[in-house]
Amino acid sequence: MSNTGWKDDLARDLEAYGFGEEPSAFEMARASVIEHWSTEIRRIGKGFKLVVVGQARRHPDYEDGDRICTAAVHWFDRHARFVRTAHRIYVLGEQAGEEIPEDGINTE
Amino acid sequence: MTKLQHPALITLMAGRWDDAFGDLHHLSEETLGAECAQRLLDKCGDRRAIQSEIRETVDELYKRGTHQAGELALAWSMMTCRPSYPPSFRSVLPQLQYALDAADLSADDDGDCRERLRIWWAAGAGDYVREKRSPFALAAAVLAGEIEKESALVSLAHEVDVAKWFRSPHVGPTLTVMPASRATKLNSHNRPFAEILDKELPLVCARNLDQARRRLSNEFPHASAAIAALFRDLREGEPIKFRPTILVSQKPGTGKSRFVRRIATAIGLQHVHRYDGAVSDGQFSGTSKGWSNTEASVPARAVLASRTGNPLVFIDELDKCSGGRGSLNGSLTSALLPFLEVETAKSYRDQSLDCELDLSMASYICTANDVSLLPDYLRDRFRIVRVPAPRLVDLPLLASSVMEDLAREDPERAGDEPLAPDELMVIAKAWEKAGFSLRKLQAIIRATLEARDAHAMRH
Repeated sequence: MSNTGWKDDLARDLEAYGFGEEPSAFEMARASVIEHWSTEIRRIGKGFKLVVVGQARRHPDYEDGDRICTAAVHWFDRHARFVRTAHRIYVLGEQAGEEIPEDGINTE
Repeated sequence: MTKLQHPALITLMAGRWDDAFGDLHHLSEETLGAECAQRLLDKCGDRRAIQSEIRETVDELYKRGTHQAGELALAWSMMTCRPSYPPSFRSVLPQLQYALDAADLSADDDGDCRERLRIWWAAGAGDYVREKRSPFALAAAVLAGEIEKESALVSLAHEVDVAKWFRSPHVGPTLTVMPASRATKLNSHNRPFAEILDKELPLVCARNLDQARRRLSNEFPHASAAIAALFRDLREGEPIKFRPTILVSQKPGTGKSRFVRRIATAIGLQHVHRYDGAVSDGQFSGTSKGWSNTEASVPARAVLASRTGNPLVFIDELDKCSGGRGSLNGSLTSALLPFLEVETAKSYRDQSLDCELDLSMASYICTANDVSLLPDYLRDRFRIVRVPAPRLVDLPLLASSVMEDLAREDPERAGDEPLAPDELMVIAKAWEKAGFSLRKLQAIIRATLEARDAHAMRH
């Protein structure tokens, strides 16, 4: 299904997130999930992009459990609940265990 | 085009965390309300507390649901980023990049912002994980040139662009070994030589000669004649070129091969092209271009491998080569001839590359046990230097250099005590029996150290 208006959608969504809004429960429910995710910052030419790698779930193009890497992330939720890439919203599941939690304290 | 308005971008331009905090506090006092603003100021002294307070403020601001509050929230979330913890950047950078891309700034402001944001991205990528400073101070320091590049993830060696370095002209003496005017088309086997075709290759200059000489005479006390002869060819700061030399010792194991390698590294030659003399054909001067697989001569390959105009070709065991002059396959002794005289080496036509090479600056050092086996035309062209077998008086110096070698091989040996006089006595007796060979000495010292380990006191 082609979506030629993706740029408008993206701008609208980012605008909304900037207002403090979050994706609707419906959007979150139908979005693909990334489990055991971790973030990477990659260089593209002079610039950089943030990507999330992990195991996909409910992704239309991949089997569950496939290891995927998202496109450049345009919005990373501050509580790490979701990310917005150019075309998709991903719900973030469990974070991969390698990263040290903030403040160096394991809260669980 | 508008002025720099977005609070996050204004914050990005701050040079210190404190400045950023002050400005931001001033900007958001109205939106936040007096109570919340005061709470931020109260916690300002405590690093941990202010971080969690800022996080609460960000949540609070997003809850307002206005455009202005959202922008302030982004700016405040920048205050929680720490280069020492790269994931702290991830919920800021994409948003910030988007804000910058969306903002319609003047070219100067846009350039400044992008430059700083790139440093933030690099910090987020973990390039500055050892930095204790805030990203604001970090960006200022990088822009001021205080921090060149401190990367934990990207190694510096990766960053060196060898091809570019090779393209840039060398300051100092150079030599074009393979001038294009005297070259023919390279065939598929010699494709790599295209890299040095018509290139001015740097000539390695001798450096630290005094120090190198002192170090070598400590390490090879028995080879003083050879050291004197070889250092006579060198001038400090001038390209290295040894006269063709044969190091001769009657007995094997006087450390000749190691001596050649050590002298090369001591004076600054990084690359020694070793060629084994125990061959029976003339492959040293390359195989003809007409054959289905052809190979260039050894000196030409040494030039290519070292990318310098004056490689050192080290032929080990020259006297072991067999095959007389009349042999069908040629021989090493006759193949060597054209390289030894400067006149002929200056315009040597390599039969594989089929072009004239200037190999006049290449040096040749050989080792041999018996020069009487060599044909006289070769003995004429080489300078023959004797390396006598080490004597008992050389033992203390040799033993310490062997100890250094062992420590280099095995880090656990690095802290070993030097050999005690009684140990040296035992070693001396054993070595005398073994006929003063350096290889034997190495084995004896290793055994001594192992015995010492086995009987060491444990506590």
